Amino acid sequence: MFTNADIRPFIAECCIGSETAWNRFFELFHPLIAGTVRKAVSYDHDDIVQTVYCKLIGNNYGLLRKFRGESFYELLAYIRQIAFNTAANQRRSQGAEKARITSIEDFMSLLSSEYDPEARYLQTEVSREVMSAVAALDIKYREPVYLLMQGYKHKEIAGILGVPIDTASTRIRRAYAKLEENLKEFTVN
Amino acid sequence: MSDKHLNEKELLAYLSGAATGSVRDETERHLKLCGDCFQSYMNMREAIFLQKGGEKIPAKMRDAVLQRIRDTKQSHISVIVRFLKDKIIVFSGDQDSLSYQGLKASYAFRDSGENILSRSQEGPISISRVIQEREVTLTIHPLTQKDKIGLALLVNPSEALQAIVTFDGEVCETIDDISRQSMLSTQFPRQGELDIQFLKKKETIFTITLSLEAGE
Repeated sequence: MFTNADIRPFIAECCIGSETAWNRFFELFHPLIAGTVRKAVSYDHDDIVQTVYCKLIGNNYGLLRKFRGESFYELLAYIRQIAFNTAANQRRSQGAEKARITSIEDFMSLLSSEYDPEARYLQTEVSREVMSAVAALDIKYREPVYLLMQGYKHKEIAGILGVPIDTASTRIRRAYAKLEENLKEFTVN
Repeated sequence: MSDKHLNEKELLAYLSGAATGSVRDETERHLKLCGDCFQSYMNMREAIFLQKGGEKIPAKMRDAVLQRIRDTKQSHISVIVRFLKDKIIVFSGDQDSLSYQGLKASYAFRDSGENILSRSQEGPISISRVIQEREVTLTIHPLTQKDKIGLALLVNPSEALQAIVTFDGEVCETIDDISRQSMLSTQFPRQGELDIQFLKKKETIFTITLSLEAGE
């Protein structure tokens, strides 16, 4: 694992094109880049992942050089954001239509639907009332609802939250119930 | 805690379970109230999960990316200049395999050559590289203001190139003809990204990045 002191020298070495540093970069960040792209779109994963690398290298490593963080976790978040934005741009360039979620029925349907990589994209179009109801949940229930909205399966949610799958499923079930209660208190268009 | 956003350390402490008692309660209360922090927290959780996925880069993709990196070196030079207490270390991207620790150890006691320079007394330091059939020499000058440096550019054979100099993303100086003016008038901090774009007839010929790092 990297220490925070390793981050700046590591980024600098990537930015001078050190192949040793880039091989380390692949080890550390390829799973994140590939996983993020796979979650965001359902097609052309390899092409989009390659585009992410082109962006990182392009403009003389401009995106990497813009990184101002000091820690490994900040770098993780930064790389993830670049991968996600690249995938989102790809979706937009394909002219994908956004669906608008405004009712509790639509929202619950979204949450309980089969894995759908486009679910994340729908999130921005969920109405304010529905989002308010989600935001009112306790953190331990809001976490799985948020992850369901990102298109994660129960098993993955358990992995992300670091709990057994039964615990994750129970939280999801309770979250549904609480969400329905909360939604009664909000006006749904 | 609720008045300002949670920092990464606080988020990590909550996420890992290291935060306990009132700190944990306060963090949770903030996460419930602050959408931005909740988003950062979940981003961190997702990123950690995905990063541990262990998926390896396919060999074909790795080779393509590395080839692109090699191609980039044809028109771009990156140099790290690390100012330490009693020496300056220079790392350059045109070396085949660069190991930070290895390079530092290998050259730590050399007092000549391009890779590391001892300096019991500060003097100008020149870094020369060949790019696009031109020899480019960057000379770093110490200044009376200790935390700043001056910079001179020399291209051989002499040629009327324009240079646009950017520091940390902001254009700070433009030289219309470096064959007539080699010394930059800007005084640069010893920490930051210094980009120099060389142009001929408004077209970029090559670029140089100096990553300046002030160390212990």
